[in-house]
Amino acid sequence: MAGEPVLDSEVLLRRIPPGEAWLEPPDRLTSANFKLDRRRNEQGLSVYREKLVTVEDVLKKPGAIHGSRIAAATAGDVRALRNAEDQPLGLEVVPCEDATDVGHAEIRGTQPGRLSASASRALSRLFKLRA
Amino acid sequence: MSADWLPHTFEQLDRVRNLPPGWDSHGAGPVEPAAVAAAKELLSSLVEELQWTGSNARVAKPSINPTPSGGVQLEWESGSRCLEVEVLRDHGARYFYQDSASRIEAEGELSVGAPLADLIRYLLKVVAAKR
Repeated sequence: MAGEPVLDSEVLLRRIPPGEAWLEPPDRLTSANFKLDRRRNEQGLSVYREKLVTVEDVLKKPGAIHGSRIAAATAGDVRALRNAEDQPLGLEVVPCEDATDVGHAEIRGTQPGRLSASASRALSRLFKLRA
Repeated sequence: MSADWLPHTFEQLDRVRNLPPGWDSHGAGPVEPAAVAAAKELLSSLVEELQWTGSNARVAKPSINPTPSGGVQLEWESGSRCLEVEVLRDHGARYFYQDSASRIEAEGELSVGAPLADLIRYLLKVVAAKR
């Protein structure tokens, strides 16, 4: 999987599940929305590049569930994230698309398959829900 | 220490346990029943230990979130401080404390039956923060 490099100016889209069953309030972004699935050995957080796909496309991708919403941030802002102690989190955005998954990219931490709690929290504060 | 939110929190945890596969809109499996049980056990122990310490602090109800790895995340937040505890399916847990105003972060792990002193210390810091 590959694709052209993700520019800092590009907008990244991430699906957020409807949280009526548990979230208070249900439209809140939490760090749990930005954690890797260790059971499936995920290497990075799945996002889509808005210059290649629309919000509607992302909400129709396999696995998307009814009622999901979209949160967005630029790749440059993701790369620039720092922790509370003002140290860089070292996040990278890499293209992962193929013929069946156009526009796919991943946010990855400094170690393969790992994303710190600090990074998850910072991402939850950076990404904003689209209206 | 008052924790009249405990029964409601347990109901929420039961709802999280019944989420179907793919609940996160990214293909995650269901939350592990063992993680839900461990979260209930941890919350009960926290409440009990806070009572033993003689704390008069009113600890707010935590937010409950499923995590893609099959765990459950408990979150307390007040002002610039937050405490996140991800309870995992193997009965272990990881915690993350952040005070963005004081530029402090701390992470740690908890095993079954381990003393909760660190967790209680951070929880009381969050409780003491001004909203």
